[in-house]
Amino acid sequence: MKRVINIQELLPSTIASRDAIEALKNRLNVIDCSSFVFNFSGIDFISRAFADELLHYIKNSNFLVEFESTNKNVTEILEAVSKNRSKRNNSFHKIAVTHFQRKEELNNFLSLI
Amino acid sequence: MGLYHISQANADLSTSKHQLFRAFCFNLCYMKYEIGISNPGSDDMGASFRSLLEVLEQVGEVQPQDVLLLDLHRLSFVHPFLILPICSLISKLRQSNVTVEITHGAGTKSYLETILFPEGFNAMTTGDWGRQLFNFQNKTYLPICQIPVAGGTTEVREQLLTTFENILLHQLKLTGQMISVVKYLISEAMDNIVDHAKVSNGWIMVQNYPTKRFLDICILDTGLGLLGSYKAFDVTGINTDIEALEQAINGKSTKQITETRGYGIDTSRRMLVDGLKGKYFLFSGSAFYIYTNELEQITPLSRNGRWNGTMLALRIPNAAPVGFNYTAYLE
Repeated sequence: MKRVINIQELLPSTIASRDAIEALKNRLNVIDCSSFVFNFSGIDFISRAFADELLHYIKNSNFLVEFESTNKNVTEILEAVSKNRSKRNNSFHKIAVTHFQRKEELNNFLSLI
Repeated sequence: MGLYHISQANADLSTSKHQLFRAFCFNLCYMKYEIGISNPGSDDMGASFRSLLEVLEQVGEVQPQDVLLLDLHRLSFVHPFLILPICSLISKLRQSNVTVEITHGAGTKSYLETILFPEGFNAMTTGDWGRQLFNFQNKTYLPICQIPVAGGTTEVREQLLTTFENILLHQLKLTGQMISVVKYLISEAMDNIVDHAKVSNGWIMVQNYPTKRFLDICILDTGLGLLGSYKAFDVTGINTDIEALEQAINGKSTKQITETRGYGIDTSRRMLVDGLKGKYFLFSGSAFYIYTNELEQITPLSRNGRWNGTMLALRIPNAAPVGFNYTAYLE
């Protein structure tokens, strides 16, 4: 039997931090069940970091989890993170390093930004 | 015991744009410094940063037990990219037993009080903090805000950030993708502080410029900094602030789970600059990174100025260009 977990009861409508996962872990730890539905009703946004941590947690536990009532934002983040867990662009982006010997040179540069 | 009278030094300061004065105390056990903060003179990001660098170059000499007089009289307007780092600097100096005294002009007095300079808003010590924050919902700014990031503060932090962002969205009247973008940029920056800085709080300040059609967000900490964070996690091959910036921008994580970590800075800068045509500035240790549509570079600072921690400055247009697709930058 699946147990529904209303995320909104544990966390606010915007979930920013990776370690917000602890609130969910604490809740699940006291429930004798291995199949859950995470209901995201009332959740406006989750950060990429939280999505990543959530997917890690699910993968590393033996839970069966379904998501429901995810809005567009939450769906997109979860899909993007899920897709990139197995594929990463490892190309290195080289960035120019510019030294300024004199303070005036640095100030001139700063006046451009 | 007392300080040597420094009225002459003060008189000299009025004719000199930037000088650091030392006064001897009778028992020679501490020094008294006076730093005048120059007026940026424009809304340009670089102008605020130039004023900040001048302060940082001087404040590096201040030691515990010293007295620092911080003179803000020249400021005609207070920009987040200058005033927020100054606030956190004052906090850090005071924690290090430096006495910091602040003077400012009548022109900025009211605004500085409104944005809660220099202590900032602290939800951990403010009763009914949500109601107090909501007093700002019809302003064009949010106050200087300390965000708790230490262990055991997750619940307060999440509630605080949600409240903070909801007020911000109300102020800006953002719609559609811009809501997600602003939340994404703030959450990624704050999460980096939680994960890496090893401090008790981060700092954030937001100023909206409706007629100029952009908003400025500054988010910073006075923690380990990028290089310090790599070293703390025993990541090898990164030995300078330049290398740390370069690796962080390329998504090099401090953690072993490299395939899923380290996206925050890279996606944020591309979303903001490539997508929204904004500006992204990252300062850590003795080097800074700037990314705009016109340029991208890392600049080491050869003088004394350094930021002991990580400072992020974002200039965000208040509307997305036609064709912008937020999800194209998600990884």
